[in-house]
Amino acid sequence: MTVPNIIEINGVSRHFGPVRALDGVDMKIREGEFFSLLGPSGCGKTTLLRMIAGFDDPTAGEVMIAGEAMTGVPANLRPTNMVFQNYAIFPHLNVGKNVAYGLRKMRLAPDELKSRVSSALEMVDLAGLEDRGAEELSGGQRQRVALARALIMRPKVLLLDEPLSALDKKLREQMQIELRRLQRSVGITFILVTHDQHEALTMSDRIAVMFNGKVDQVASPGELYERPASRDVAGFIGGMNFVDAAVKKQTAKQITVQAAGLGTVVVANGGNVSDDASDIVLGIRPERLSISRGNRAGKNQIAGTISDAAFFGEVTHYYVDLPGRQEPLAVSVSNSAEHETLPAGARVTIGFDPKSLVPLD
Amino acid sequence: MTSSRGYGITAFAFIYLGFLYLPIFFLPLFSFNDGVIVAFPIESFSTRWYSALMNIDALHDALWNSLRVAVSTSILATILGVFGARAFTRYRFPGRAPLISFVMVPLVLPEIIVAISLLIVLVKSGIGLSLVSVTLGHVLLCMPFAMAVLISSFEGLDQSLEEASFDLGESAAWTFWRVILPIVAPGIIASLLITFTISLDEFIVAFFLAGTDPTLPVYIWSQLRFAARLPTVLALGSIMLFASFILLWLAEMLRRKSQARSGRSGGFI
Repeated sequence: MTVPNIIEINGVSRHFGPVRALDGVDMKIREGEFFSLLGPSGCGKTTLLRMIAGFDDPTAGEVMIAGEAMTGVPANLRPTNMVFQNYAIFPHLNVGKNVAYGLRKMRLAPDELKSRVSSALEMVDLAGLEDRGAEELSGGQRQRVALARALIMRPKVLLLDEPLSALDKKLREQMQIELRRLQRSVGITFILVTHDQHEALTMSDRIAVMFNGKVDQVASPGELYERPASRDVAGFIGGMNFVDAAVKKQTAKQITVQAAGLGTVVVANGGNVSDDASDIVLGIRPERLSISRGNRAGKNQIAGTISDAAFFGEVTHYYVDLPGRQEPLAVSVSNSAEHETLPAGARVTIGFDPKSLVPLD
Repeated sequence: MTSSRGYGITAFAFIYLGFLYLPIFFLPLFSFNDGVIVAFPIESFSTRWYSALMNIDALHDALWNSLRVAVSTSILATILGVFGARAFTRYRFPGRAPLISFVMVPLVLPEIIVAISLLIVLVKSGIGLSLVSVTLGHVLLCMPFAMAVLISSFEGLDQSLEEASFDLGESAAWTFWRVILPIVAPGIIASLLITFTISLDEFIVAFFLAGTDPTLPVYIWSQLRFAARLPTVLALGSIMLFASFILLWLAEMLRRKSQARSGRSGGFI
């Protein structure tokens, strides 16, 4: 069951003078998936989105949409529609006319036009608001109008440029769920640009993580979290401890390392370390570490001292000083009903499973 | 301490405004005076100078000339202004800043210099003097005003609105018609009103370039030589004053509305 690619980005670069906003990006986006471009600001994700929309041209390389090369095809002739960051609602038109804006060329009968607009508004929970003026809309409503205006065009791909960044936290979380549901029900490929890892993780089928104009990894949220391909990705998504390690032996399946504070450990080779690497880092998620009172050292156990503790409700974060390590190790523990928060200064034992250590260059 | 200083400034403001506007109030005042001599005491209330206006053919011709010139000037200057304002606000190109100053120069150029240079060029080139030459001169003088008003309404135009229109399948021309024009429309109307008013009141350029067809201000000037006609001129002046005021007030209202509409004060957040 191979799903065809709706978008193929082939070796795309974009240079603004000496600045490389995009640097040899390759990417394949499947039909019907919710795909996110995730990265810090300035990583090129918005440039890539605008290139797919047709607002910017690649310096090199090519964008293909539904099997057709888009070089030289202007934005108004592409089978894509966009939800802008500020929503770009036409201020002089009411909601109904905003939504119907793109239908002019179809020369629909007034009845047909009306019913299409009203069903588009229904889809985004704004039924009956046709006559509302653009200036009277709340932030959430503006976004829904922008969505309806784009989806009514029945695009092959819907592009979303940080659509939730202007909303407050509660509305943002609600819209994340709604966008996901909407995408499933219309079956259109959504491409979302975001710098918010939670947003990308909760909504996407697959995520491309970008840094400095390059794609570091394209994977499902779970894979990104469990098997990050680079230090940047590991650090950007979720919390991650990094432990310096010296390679003693490397095979295709396993790497034996001498890790600072952890001793000699054998970890699975995820293929993210070059064959001749000698100094690497091990990544480990704070919630994959266990913590217990008492100072024992043993196999897969390290003794340490709590330097700080922070209570977050469902979890408690501990920062534990280890001998032979500058930075404290972050440990996250789920709180149970009878949990006790360990005090700073307490001597503790950290337990880890070598399977959850991710070797990275 | 602040209050005494406040009084000083208030007093200054009143004296200043009085000096500026009091003489203008005499214009309508004496236009309703029955006597021919423009001096106190006022004899009795009369509208006879206004009725007299109705019967002067030369005045009607001059008014008609002025209206034709003002309408043509306002339309020409505003169309040119739309192109200019769009270019200056949308694109960054080499020589942009000097070009803007260049368009704005007539604001500070002595009008008499402009008028004389135009006169020399028009006469020597054989184009001659007519209402057309007056119109051309007025367009030159009105451009800075048209540009100032239009730049302020184009400036706030959010570029993503244009992109949204392209994205929804419209061409550049349709986008201009369906998005840009409606949003800046109040600015365009304001520009039309301001340039119309300026052209209607302008004297120096019209005086030099009008040839045999005087505009209204030129006609008024010619009447000042006859003392007996002075009250009629005052009546005419009062009407023009009132009309100019209304037009400029309308223009300013529209300019503000356009600024709010294009997103600068009534924006997204």
